[in-house]
Amino acid sequence: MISKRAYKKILHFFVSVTFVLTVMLVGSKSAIAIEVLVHSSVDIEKLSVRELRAIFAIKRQRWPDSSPVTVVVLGGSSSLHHQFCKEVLQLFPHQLQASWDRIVYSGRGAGPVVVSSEKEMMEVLEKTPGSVGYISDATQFGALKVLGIRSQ
Amino acid sequence: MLSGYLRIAMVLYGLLAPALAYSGESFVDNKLRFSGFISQAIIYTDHNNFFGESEEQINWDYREIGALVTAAPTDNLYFSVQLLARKAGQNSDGSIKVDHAAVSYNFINNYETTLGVHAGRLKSPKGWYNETRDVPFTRPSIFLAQSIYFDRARNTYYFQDGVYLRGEHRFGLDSISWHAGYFQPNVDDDELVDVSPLPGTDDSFGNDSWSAGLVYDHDAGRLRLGLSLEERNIGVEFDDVITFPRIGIPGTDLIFEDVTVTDLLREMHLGNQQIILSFEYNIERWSFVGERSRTVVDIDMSSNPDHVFADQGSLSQSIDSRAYYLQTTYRASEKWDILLRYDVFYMDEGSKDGKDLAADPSFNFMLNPYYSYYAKDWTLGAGWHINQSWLVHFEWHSVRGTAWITAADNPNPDDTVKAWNLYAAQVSYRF
Repeated sequence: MISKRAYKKILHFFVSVTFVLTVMLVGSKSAIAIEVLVHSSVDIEKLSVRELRAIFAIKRQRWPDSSPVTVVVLGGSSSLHHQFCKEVLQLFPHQLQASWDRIVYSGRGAGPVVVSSEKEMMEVLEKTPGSVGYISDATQFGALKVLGIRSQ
Repeated sequence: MLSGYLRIAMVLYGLLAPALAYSGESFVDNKLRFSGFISQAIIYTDHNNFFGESEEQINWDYREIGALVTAAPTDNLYFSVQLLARKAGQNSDGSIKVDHAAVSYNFINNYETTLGVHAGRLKSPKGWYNETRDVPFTRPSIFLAQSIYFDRARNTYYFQDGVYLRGEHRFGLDSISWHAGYFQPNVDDDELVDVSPLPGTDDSFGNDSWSAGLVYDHDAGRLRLGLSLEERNIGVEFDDVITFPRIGIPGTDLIFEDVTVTDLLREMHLGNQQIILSFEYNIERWSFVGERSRTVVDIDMSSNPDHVFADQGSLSQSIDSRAYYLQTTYRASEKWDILLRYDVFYMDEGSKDGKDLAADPSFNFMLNPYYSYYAKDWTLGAGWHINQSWLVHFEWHSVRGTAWITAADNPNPDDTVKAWNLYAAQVSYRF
């Protein structure tokens, strides 16, 4: 067993590091709103944040009418993706990534479709029935449907 | 080391060339995808060698290089093949192996229910981390809790060829998923020699084995509870001709001098029954994870009828191993998290301090120190998620006991030390 003194030292170190990193964390929320979009075939008007989180984590792979869900996201370095994770899903991007990795690397299923721009996001969403993605509200939504988000 | 990288680069090219030739359209359509990862760690220990020669020196002998190709020809059919070149000291030699090659097919897949089969070469779906144990991006730390995710016997105890029935039932924000299946362990002779109570070489093979599991998930993983059950059967045919100064027969008080194992025994059967209880709770900045495992190993041996002790017929001994760990991760910011873990392993519940096992002359005729029968590990780690492609982990282990270091890396038990520290850093990249 570890000695009491060493244990105290470890605890002290852990608490200090935690404190410093928390102080270092400066949340900077930008003013851009984000809209969640679905293909026009998706027969849903509103979802709760929790339901949306389950869909983007690839834990819900079917819509209520049993048609398959295709999740579309912007690549990892996209600031819109970061903002979507933090403000809409209330997760850190790497937490979402970890949940995809568990499915993909165990050989059990595919991760989301990754696109490189909002323009490509729109194109993929428009031609993929059952797809869901997101976009900053400054753009046109075309034939896509904006999904309402309930906070609970 | 360089030739290892070169080899994997060639294999990656072979794998990826056809994928690259595929049009970009196909990736969007979810048909064929490829990805890969590479990691390199440095390890330093003040005593004992881990994953290579690390005692009072920087050890570069731990790296993982993987390539994954997946295809979804239809909505309910999914193929996944991953190749892995893993170097971890004497434990894994860095050669390219099929990490998994599996097919999944869903018979039923609707809003409430998924039911399907998953078959091929797989990692055992036990505990939270085993199926993805060799992918650095899926681990909370460089090394998983060794008490439950032993790297010392990773091929034999965690890999298999099998077929599973899998189901998931969803109701509201909750789901219950389960699996049940048949498999044959992917046995590794070198590992068995390392963990077996008997010395020398042998020829081992996987026998019929079964496993089942159940996971309850609430709110996309906010709370997860898991139960894993496994019966893993391994057969060993002794073929050793090396004469040992002393060999004891576990479970008896018999000790023989200047003999080979084959003089005494014909074969051995290892029946491992394992149960793992798993817990995970996530709130905004914190994750709490705990797992507890019990493994009963029944060792059945049949004696060599030509030998003087032939009238012993069959012999047996049972070992009751226990393990648990508690782990918390604090997400200090988007890029940094901190991990604290306490991890405990007892080779035999009846001898937690290892002294009774060490004093048993027929079990411990190799004269291993008592502290080789347990391990208690405090881990403090930090993860730096630079971006989606790069991850850096740092960690410090303060360990008492040597149960999960290998004899291959530490050939002389007298050179091992009970209390030791391990420092490691690992850089991982994926594409």
